[in-house]
Amino acid sequence: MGIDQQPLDKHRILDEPFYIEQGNEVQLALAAYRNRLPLLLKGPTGCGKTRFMQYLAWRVKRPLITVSCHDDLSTSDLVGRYLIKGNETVWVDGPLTMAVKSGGICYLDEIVEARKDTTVVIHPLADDRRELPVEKLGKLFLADPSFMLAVSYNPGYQSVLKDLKPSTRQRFVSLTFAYPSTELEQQIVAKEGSVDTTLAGQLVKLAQMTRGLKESGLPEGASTRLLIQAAHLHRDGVDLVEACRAGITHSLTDDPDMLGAMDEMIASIF
Amino acid sequence: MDIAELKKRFYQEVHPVHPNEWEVEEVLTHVASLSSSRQQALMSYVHVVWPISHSLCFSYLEQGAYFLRNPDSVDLAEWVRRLLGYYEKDGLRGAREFMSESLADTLAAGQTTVARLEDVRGRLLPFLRGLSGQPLDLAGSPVAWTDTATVYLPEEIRFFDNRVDNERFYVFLACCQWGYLTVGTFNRILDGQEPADIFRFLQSSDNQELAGAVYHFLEFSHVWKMLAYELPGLMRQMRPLLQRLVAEKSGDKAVGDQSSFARLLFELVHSPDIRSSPITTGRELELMYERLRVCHEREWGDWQFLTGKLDFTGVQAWLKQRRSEERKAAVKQLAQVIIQSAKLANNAAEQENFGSLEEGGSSRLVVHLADGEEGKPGLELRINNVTVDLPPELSELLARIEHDLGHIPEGYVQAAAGIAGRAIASGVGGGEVEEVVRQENAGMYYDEWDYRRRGYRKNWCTLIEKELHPVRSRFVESTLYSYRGMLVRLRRQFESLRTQHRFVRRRRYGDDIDLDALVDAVADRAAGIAPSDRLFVRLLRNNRDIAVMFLVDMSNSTEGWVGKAIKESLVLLGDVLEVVGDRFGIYGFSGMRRSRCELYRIKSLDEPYSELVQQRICAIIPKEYTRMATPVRHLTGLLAQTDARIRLLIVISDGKPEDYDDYKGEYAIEDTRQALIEARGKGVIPFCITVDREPHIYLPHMFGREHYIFVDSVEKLPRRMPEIYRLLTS
Repeated sequence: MGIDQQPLDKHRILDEPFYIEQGNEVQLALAAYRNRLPLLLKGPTGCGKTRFMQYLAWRVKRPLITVSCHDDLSTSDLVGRYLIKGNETVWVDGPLTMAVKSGGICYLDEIVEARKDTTVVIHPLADDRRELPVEKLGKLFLADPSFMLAVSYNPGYQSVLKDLKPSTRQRFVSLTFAYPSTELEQQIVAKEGSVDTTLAGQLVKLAQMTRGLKESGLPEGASTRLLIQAAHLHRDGVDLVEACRAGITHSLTDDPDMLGAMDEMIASIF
Repeated sequence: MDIAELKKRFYQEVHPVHPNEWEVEEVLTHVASLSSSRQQALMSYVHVVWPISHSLCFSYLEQGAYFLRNPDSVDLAEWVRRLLGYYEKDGLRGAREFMSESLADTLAAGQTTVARLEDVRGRLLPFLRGLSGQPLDLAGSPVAWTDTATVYLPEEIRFFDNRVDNERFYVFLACCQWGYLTVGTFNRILDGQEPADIFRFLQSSDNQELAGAVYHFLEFSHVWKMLAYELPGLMRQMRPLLQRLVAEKSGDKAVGDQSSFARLLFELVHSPDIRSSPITTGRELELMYERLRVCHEREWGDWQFLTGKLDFTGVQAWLKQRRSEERKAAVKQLAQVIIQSAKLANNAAEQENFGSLEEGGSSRLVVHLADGEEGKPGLELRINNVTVDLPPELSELLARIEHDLGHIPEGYVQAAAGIAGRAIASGVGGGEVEEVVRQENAGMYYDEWDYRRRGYRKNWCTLIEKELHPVRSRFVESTLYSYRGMLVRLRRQFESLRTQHRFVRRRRYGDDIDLDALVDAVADRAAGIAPSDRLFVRLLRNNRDIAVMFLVDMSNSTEGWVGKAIKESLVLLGDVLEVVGDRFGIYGFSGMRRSRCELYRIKSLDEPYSELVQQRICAIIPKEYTRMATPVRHLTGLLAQTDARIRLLIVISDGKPEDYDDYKGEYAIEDTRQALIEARGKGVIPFCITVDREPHIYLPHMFGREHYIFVDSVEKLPRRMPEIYRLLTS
């Protein structure tokens, strides 16, 4: 128990994360938590999904265990595995088992990046059974009442492969995130990037212009996260235009025409 | 070179054509006066221009000689490239206009400071689209204006003595046009949203032209103020430039005449940035009109280079066209939705034995479009009181129409309901609508590379995708029978290529403990030997993630043995590829001239290898010519859409690319080579299997070394091909 509990404490969020509600997502998520329903967050990159999870974890005072999913993620990486210690084998819980046993929030970030056969392991946890069978231990763990499962993905990637199976999808309460409204985004950039609201407003304007380029071949426009990044650079003494180039536009594309167009945008706004 | 030598050279270049001597001589007199190196340069493009148009070639020599006489004109290649571009766009007239204009340019010797729309277009277009958030387009026109869908800008700008400033002026002009759209200059007038006093004023003033100019000036000043507020960076850079420009153009009018447009613009470009109401008021208009009337000054038209023009008729025409297109599209899509949901309702009703909707009469189709319920944005469609989900593109279209007109006209919905009702009643089920959609996708245009000008001919070739009609014959059976011995061996070989998830033992890190390794390690340690740390089992997932396209030459040279061998090879390959499980597609190509490149679908990438596919293989027959690059470009596009890790394009051909027109020789080889380079750029690996007596020098040039193989006798092809494929992919 001691081994289990200790690392979990690191996942507790003690200070209130900065989060401004976009719609009614907090109310929905709290209702889902009370009713022990799993959450599916979808939205473009850098629009605040992970921050929302941190905020939610802080609100319900549970540790948040985040797993970034990738192509090689195996079921053992989630559930746990035996390791060898001297002449013995020792079972070590994976992040999912850890959260199930001690009632934390397990957040699988970018779940579509993981293989579909891996994600099937969450199925019994994501319906009313709320149980996690661990084959290798021969045990069935019932989830702690305060356990919550949350997954996120970005539907913007237009790929057939990068989609959730309906059997996975249809277990979740879905919250759709978008880029915040202009005023809200301005507020967020000002607060997080520690810049004045005028500058924040200009950054938001730039972001909106890049989001208008989606039709012209830019896969995704500038996210709120990039704006904050540029604001940080500028606050640290980097020239504003340079900060926008390095912090925003050059992170979006390599296409010279597109970069030229965005340079014009920067030159026009600032 | 003197005239005689030039003539000789000219006839060599245009051989075997032999144009009139007097005509040639007249043109070459212009060339004779050039220095020898310039003569050489000019003559070296004759073989490029001549096949395209003889008249153009004569004009080229004449004007080119003038062009080269200027010591500053260095880039003849670029000049020729642009000349041919204009010829393809506007014909001989366009090309001649370009030549005389560029001649004027070189005489003015302002070459390096001029900004051209063509050069800035690449970044200006995305800039404009990002700025407006609308799919606006850019095009050339003497004066800047917009019809609300396209922004027209001058072909070139030369107001300032350096190129950067001229290019910046382009940005400003584009922003102005966006400004007119944003402040609603057009919508207010055309939709009659304008306050009545402005209308009255514009129509009743004794000098309507002046009134229009005043209105334009006021709109421009609002755009100016809006830009100053929205795009302070741009205006900070533009303001000094424009101040200088206005001062230059107006001369002393700006200072002396208190009530001229020059003075007004002078005041505007020197005014501090104040955010004002973005809408022109009638009062403003009247005051300004009175102020300008006294001086009888009529030079508003002179300022169009700065303010652009407001072309209400152009906007109206476009608006009418767009609205009618949108109406058609909306009605069509709505009708489809209604038909589909009616069908679903029918099926459901039949299952429950309630009788079908048709029995109840299609006249009972009650369709209604309304705002979504509270909290749900957008519109919803109700058919017979059942809410139907709208497909996203339709909701987008409807939202656009609603934004444009302020509401969705009831007529649209009723027209759709009418079409749907008729379709259901006649049992057509919207087939007509689908047919239209199919027709729209009939031909696809592809560029073609012209090596002589080192540029693309835009949308030069039309590719038509067709299906090959299956033929029933015993060909497949007999092939499989005659190669049965080899087939068994091939199948076994290909089976070994098949990979599955498998466990690998004795890994340092893995999913589970390798008990054998562990026991060994414990024993080793007990025996005092350093134990291995490779104690885990790991699941290895090596997928053969391959998509391959076979592009088969169906030109008439494949007649006879070659054609049969290719077909046999395809049958054998199809069989063994099924064993290994790779995704593969087979397409044949042929055609005649650039307007008809035909691609025959034998098997698409995701279609199962069925009897039907075998019958289509049987149907492969020699057809016409070999314009290879266009189908290569098309299949590259198809392959690029797949997510496979390895994407292969295997071309099976019997010779050089060649078409009926002048698509042959070096031109054809270079175009094909370029298409293959494009393919590599898109992550597609091209490979060529050529059936020929001897290897040709063009093959490595076209496909690259190691990217082709030639099979010197036809009989070997069916045996070699599966083998080649296996080597390529393992």
